Amino acid sequence: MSRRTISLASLALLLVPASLAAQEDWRSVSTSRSYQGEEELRVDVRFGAGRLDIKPGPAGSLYKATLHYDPRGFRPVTEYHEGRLRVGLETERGTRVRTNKAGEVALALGPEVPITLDLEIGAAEADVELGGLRIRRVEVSTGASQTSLRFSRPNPEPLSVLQIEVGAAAFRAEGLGNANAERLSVDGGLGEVILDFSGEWQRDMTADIDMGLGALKLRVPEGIGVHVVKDGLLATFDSQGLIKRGDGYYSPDWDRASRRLTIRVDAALGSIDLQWVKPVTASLP
Amino acid sequence: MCRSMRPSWSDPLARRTAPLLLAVLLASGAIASDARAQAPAREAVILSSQVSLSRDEAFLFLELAGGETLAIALRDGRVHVNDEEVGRYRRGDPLDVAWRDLLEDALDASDDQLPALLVEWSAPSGSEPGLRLDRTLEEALGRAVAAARRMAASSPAGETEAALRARIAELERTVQELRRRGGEGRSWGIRYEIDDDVLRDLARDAGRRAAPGFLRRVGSGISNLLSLLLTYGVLVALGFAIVFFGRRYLEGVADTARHATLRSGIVGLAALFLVIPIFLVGTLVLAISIVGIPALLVWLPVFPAATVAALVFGYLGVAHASGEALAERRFAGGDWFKRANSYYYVMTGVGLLLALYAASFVVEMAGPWLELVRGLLMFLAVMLTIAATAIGLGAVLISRAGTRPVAPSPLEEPTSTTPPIEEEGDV
Repeated sequence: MSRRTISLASLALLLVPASLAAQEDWRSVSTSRSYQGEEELRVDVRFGAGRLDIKPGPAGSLYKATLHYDPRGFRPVTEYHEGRLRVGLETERGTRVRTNKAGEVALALGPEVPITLDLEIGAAEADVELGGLRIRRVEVSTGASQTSLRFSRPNPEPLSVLQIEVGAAAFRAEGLGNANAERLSVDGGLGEVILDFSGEWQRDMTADIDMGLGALKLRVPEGIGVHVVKDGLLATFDSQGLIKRGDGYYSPDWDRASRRLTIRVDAALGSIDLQWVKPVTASLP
Repeated sequence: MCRSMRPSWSDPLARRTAPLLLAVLLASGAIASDARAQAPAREAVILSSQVSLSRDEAFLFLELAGGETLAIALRDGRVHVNDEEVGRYRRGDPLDVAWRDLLEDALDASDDQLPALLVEWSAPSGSEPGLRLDRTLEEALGRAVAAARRMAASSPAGETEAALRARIAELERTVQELRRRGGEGRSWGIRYEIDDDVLRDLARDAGRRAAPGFLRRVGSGISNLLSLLLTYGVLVALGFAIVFFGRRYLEGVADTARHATLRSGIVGLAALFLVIPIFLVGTLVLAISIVGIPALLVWLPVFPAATVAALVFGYLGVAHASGEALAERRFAGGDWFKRANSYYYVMTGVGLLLALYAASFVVEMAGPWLELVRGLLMFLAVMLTIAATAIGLGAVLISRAGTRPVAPSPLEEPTSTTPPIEEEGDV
């Protein structure tokens, strides 16, 4: 065994107990509430750094939030008052937060109550599963994060606004066909944005996409009529079988398609790729 | 008499059977609630819960059907039930371990699972506070089950809807009544208040405008001079810090600015024009590649910070060079001041670069008839700042932040062997 290996092993032996001791100082907090016939649940999540999971909860529950964090650097926020829920981890003033010490937040939302969701995610890894929930409005704002937003099952509630703001981040939205949204708005800054429109389409959709710098990938199920209007001189567009007609590009079956997707893209610099995928009904894997 | 009829908690049979009975009740409640799945709300046993686990605390809070709340905490060696101390524990003793295990499970349990989980929990034998917790939990949950059943029996879905409709109708009547009685009067009252505020603001504004013009100008001039003084202080402080920690590099930039002024100016101007395109192109190159995205997180804050640092460093280098040049000119006329050092150069140099601003503010105080002179001075001050910034940035780039200063050409070498001023060697 080389001297370097021995040194590294010794260092690891010194560091492991220290990290375990630090973990022991962490705090776990869980707060939950039963569904009592609330007409709406407005959920505000503010999360700076760490890991965020949002998923559907069991029937009969309104919400359950579980937070795991280092109390020396973070302060938990779990407030519920008259149909409004605030969840998150706030940084304590005067502390230096390291990424490897960032906390975790898991939020399960009840499937019975109509939900308005407002997410602000900083430098975090976020996995947001909204399939099967009754979502009325979603606003997602991400900073330097890696975020995945999924509608694995159809949304029984019409979704009035689905607004996504992406900073310098990787963002992936899957099952947007299940979202039951009439309008999708994406404001992308830097990085890669993937929008997958698979799912059970219940209405036509218009997507307004404003991209700064980076790559935009659009995945559209076959059988959906697509109309793309592209603005922005320096962005390349791979039209994948769309036909240029008048102000934009149309899929060949646009006129006879039962469901239509209109995409208006304004991109400064970067690439726009459209891919056709096999249609997947209802639940996504 | 009655007391003797109640099952004793120390009786093992009672301890085993009571939770089982309660668990059966909870299970039957769950089945009943599933049968009412179409109802707008189900009668839950636990309305809300909070669990908190840390090194010093293991805390459970329950809001139960019927309005009862229960708070149990093991904190700092004491066992609390609804803020009342009921016993003691030690970290790691059987009660502490059992209670923490229960709360660990409760963290992961759903609302439906939580009541049964809490009822099934058994305190370690021999722990009096543990038995007390066990009993408190089961009694409270038993009462909550009964309350939930009563509520379920007394409020079928149809009645709930009818009650809601009646409540909505009542609220609508109240709103209409309020509008009829006082709504008009209140809205007029608010309008009068707003009008008063607007009038007060107008009067204040008119008062300000009516103040003598001379005083206003002097006030404005003094305010500007104070701001300038603050700027001077900050720049000099930064300059002193740089002299203290990196005098060699600042002198390198200053020498480059003095001996290659034109070259520094051209390079600096080019850099000023190119800095934004370089930033954008760099960002784009990093953004379009997945591998580059992590580097982007460094690039985005570091590039602007480095640019600002180079601009400030360069400006102070030019100030140092100006101060040095000024000192040499003075000493050419006479040696009334024998000592000179980098601190002095920075102090006088920054003053020299900001002098035109000060002159402009002083002229502003004199009156509107010198507006042309003030404008001219301000224009020259801004141009001088831009020139100093460009030359400074160029000098920073050419000298690699002062590590490779441009030496004076042989023609610039002083002919006399005696230096015109005596610099302090240790600063």
